[in-house]
Amino acid sequence: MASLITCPHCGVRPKEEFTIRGDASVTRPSPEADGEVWHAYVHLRDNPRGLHKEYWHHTSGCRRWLVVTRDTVSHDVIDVSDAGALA
Amino acid sequence: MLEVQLSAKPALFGAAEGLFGTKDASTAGIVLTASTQSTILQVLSPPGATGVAEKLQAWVGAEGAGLRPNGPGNWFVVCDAQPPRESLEALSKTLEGRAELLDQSHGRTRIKVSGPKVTQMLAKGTAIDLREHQFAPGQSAPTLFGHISAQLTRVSPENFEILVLSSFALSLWDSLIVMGREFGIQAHC
Ligand SMILES: [Zn+2]
Repeated sequence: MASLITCPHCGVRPKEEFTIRGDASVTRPSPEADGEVWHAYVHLRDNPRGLHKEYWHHTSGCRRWLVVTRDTVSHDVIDVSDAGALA
Repeated sequence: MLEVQLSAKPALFGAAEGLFGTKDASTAGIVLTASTQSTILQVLSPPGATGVAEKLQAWVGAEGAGLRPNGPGNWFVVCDAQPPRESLEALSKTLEGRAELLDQSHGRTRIKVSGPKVTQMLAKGTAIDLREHQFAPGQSAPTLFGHISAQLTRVSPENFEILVLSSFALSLWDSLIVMGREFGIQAHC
């Protein structure tokens, strides 16, 4: 697990300051979408070997949602950006 | 029905005071105090609001107060004493439409930690790089201190302030005494 995250607002911080929500690559379906689509969105996840994009919350810092791109094999953190930019 | 009596008491009521880890105040490497009469304001601004930091900077400069950035669009303003009412009204007016001011004097407590061993001691609680070229006097950051979220500020090279939710102040105070014991610590609030 990556242990140091460079928050774009706060600088380098340890993972203990963050809460990880999970996969940032899935897109919330429309409320009208059928059950199978919602099931996939809520429950089905890949367990990638290599690059992974996740939502991390800087709970004990700036309290912003971030998108962290990291490598699950090497533990390298490739990119950290504010999730507001995605919305 | 159970009767519950609510009573107001200061955040650091009953806090441990005195010398710890040394018998001689002149050898204490750490001094722990609290600033309990402070006025603490929280400033919150919506995304896209501009010029708020500059307005706050100008106001704290004129009032001799301190500015503690707490995240995007989010600041604490700390004043050692209650600022004049007109001055607060002027601040609120200049921020109108860009930010909201909330009095947090009751909700947060300012703990002050100083002394020649202060960075060694604080490094036990936070992962912020406390070397002076990385965290210079005047810098302030929200961080995790032990298991408590707090706002850490370097006031001068050997002077730090920890702004913490008042309900956690006593617990943090006790932890700071334990952390400071090896350096000799003098605590009074
Ligand atoms: Zn942050």
